[in-house]
Amino acid sequence: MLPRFSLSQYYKTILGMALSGSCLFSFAQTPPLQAPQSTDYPGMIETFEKLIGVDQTKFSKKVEVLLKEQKPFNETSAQNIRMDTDFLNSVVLHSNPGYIKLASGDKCRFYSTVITDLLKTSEGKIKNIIISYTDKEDRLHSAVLNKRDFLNKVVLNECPGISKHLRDFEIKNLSTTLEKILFEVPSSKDHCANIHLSWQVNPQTPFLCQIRDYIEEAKRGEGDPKDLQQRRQLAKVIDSKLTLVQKDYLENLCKNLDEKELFCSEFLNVSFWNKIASGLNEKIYLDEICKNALKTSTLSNLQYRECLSRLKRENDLCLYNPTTKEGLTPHMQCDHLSLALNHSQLRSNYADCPGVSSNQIFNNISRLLMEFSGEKVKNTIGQCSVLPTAQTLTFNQKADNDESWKLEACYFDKIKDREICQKTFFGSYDNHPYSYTTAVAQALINTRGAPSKITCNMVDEETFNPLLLEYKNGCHIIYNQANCTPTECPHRIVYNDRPFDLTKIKGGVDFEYFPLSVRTERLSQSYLIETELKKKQLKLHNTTMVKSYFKRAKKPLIHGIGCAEDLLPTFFRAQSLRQCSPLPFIIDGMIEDNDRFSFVIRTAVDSLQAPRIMSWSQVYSGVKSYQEAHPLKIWTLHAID
Amino acid sequence: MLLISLLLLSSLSYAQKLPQLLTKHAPETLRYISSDGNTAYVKKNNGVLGLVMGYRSSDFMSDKTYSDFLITDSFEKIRLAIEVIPEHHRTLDMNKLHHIYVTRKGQDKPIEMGQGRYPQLHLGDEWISFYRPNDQQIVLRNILTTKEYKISLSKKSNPFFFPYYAMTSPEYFVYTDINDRGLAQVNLLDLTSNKSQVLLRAGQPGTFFEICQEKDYFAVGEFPYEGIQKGSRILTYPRSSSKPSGYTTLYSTNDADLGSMVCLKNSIYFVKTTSFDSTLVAKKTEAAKINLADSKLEIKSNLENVTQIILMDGRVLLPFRENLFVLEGTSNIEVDTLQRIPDEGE
Repeated sequence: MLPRFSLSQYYKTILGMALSGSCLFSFAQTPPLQAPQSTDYPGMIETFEKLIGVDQTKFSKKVEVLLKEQKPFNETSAQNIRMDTDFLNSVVLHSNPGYIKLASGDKCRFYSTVITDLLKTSEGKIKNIIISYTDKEDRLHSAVLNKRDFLNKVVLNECPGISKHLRDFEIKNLSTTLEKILFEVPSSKDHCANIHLSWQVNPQTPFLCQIRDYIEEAKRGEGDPKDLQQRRQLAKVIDSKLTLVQKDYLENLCKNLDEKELFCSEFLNVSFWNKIASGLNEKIYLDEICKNALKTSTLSNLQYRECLSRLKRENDLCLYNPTTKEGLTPHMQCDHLSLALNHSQLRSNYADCPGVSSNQIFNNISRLLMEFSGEKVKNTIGQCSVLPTAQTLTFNQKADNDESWKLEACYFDKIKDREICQKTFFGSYDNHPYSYTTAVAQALINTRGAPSKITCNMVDEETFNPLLLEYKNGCHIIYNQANCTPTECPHRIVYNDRPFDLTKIKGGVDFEYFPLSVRTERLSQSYLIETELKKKQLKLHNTTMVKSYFKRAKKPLIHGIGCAEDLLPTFFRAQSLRQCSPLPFIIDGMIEDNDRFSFVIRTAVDSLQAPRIMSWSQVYSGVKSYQEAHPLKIWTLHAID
Repeated sequence: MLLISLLLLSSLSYAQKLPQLLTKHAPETLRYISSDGNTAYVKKNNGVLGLVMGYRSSDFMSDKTYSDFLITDSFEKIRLAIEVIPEHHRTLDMNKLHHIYVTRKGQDKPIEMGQGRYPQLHLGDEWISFYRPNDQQIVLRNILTTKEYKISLSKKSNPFFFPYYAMTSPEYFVYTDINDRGLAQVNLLDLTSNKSQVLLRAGQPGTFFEICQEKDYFAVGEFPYEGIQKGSRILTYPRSSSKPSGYTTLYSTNDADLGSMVCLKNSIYFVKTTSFDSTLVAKKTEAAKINLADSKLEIKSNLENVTQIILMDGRVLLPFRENLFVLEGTSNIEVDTLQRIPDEGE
């Protein structure tokens, strides 16, 4: 009978020899399994079957003999405890190569894979462990221990750290433990190789794979039929504690622990749309595309499924959004967009609406801030682009740099007999003190005797109806959604059904992304990223630097500014000499093919959910042209370390 | 899979010889230079646009420190359209309105025409049009009489759409748009009745139309946007006082070319895709020239990432990173020779 995991038996033989000759050899002391004296060599499989047959006979005989003859094992006097060589050979011959790889790290990892039922011997799941040890008189003994004794008398003595993992993976603690584990999705080959390696050395991996195997076995009805019902119930409980994403992730990981390429291809080669369908990625990437495709403003689960199936057939379905808010369209076609999203890792599970932003600096900086902080999206009033605006403003306030924010709402205070001005932006984000709703409310309190707790709303012109009761009282800022940004927003104010026109807007915003002069260097956003976020930056000048950065960085992020006419020439044409519209961007992925590569890039006018693919040559041209236009001629392509 | 166009392989030899534009001005400051090099507009550091005529230099316009200037002319070479870009490095807004002025080349003071982007001069340079992204309107204005048309575009999902336009006769104005289904179209506005109709519509989404014109014809190119693998074509329409109708297909390909067409009397320059790597989704692009008479196509550069071609006082220029190559016209206008004082009796 062939062993359960019949994949690549030749590999197992080689691996068995390799393992017993290297790390596992150190656990073995008894003479190794002998090949039969007379052996025919008609073919590899037959030889292998014979080898397994020998192992099976020898292993069961050894257990039988030891159980009869062995002396009671006393863990306090036992020294130099080792795994028996025949036991190890049996493990190598009958176990999943991925789990052998996992077990071969060190002694404690081997013990973990034994106690989590990942390894097998000729008797199937390991029930008895054969060990050898020396007593106080230095005499060599062998003993068979059942799994419970092995755990208590050997494992917990020699690897006390395992007891913590055992506790963490108890049913009652499982949810909390799973929440703390990062199931990282790779965005490039190098990134994926690092992730795969980190799982191989992670002491929690055996316990995670045990969960996956336990559920699968119960589903398939494997194991002892007597307790199958009970195991199925337990598996159901465990299953309910895992998300769909975690289940898929563990399936891929545990099946491919020794196959880095297969593990990575599940992430990098499978369509991004399939990942959304399986729950590995969020639906937000499809929201706008599907709303446009199905001509609807909301999407049910059924509609999502319909849209997903159309995406695979209709490559043009991804081109457009239903509204102008989300940014530059057309996006790339579905297949290329899927490829870009597969290699992208910038946080993009929210909307920042570059289509209604007044300054693309805000979008780029806030995308970096949201990535680094990981904070949740807060309550927003007005355009959705107040999020990047308020995020960038708050970042600059914390760095004592809000002097450059010169946009103010002003009104004349008759009591103080002077003009009062307050820094502001149109809209409200997380009750930011500069919110225009707050500024107008304060003006009403000071000039119209409005109650101190008054709040103002921003209402779209199309929604506002003065005949409705809800608009008869209170403060309403009426604006046009199609023509309003957080720094420029034609509007009118209605307070208690009467117009209020005492506020005036003055000034603007003078943020510099990269310094424009030596004097203002410390006010630039790139400088603040270094000083406030404590992020080192490295200027990338050539492909060697880029490749080395992507190889080294755990989560590569490159930001910069280039001329839109070079980065996106079909969208932004040049008709004059030195025509350069500075366009910030973030590069967060690399698609490789042998020595060549392309970038995954989001310019600040692109939707967060719709990155593009761009060659190094194109990015280099954009940055080089901007360098020519820049007052200090600085190089604006910075990797964040 | 790497597709390499045979066209490129057979034409590489042209590209090596592209000359750079040599002038007596610092290249990064140059905003406009006449074909003989005698009239130039240069940007100075403090937000000033200088005018250099022969050996005379003066401050032509001034604005705030970080303002920039763009200058466009037409094939008629009478007037210039000047864009002043406020806060060029601090307000990074692709829809920001620029101040638009016109002036006679090297002569009178600039006259403000309004605010918008992408100004174009038409019909003896007596008309100017520009686009206002905030209103999604093209403004067409007579420079002399201030007669004005405002042409509203259809609602679309791209907030950063910029149309192309050309006044083909005193009665007709053609402009590009994209309809609500994402299909590009060329519209024809009858200026006498102020009514628009569709002249040409794309058969598939994801492409845009581009327009350029010369004295006897105007050309419409259809190209796919970045990231979209679709074919390209260039059509020509004769220019006459009557309503444009029938076109001739000058060029058609399955390659996803970039466009950036420049119309000359006998040829059209544009940016052509010469190879596409479908694994890396990356293309190589070069400047190409197609003859109107025989549709013969030549690749004119070997730079691999050409993005734009511009026309300036009859000279066809290829801006590439810090360099400015000349595709057509004289390239060396660096040397000034003093005019000899005529001998007595001459």
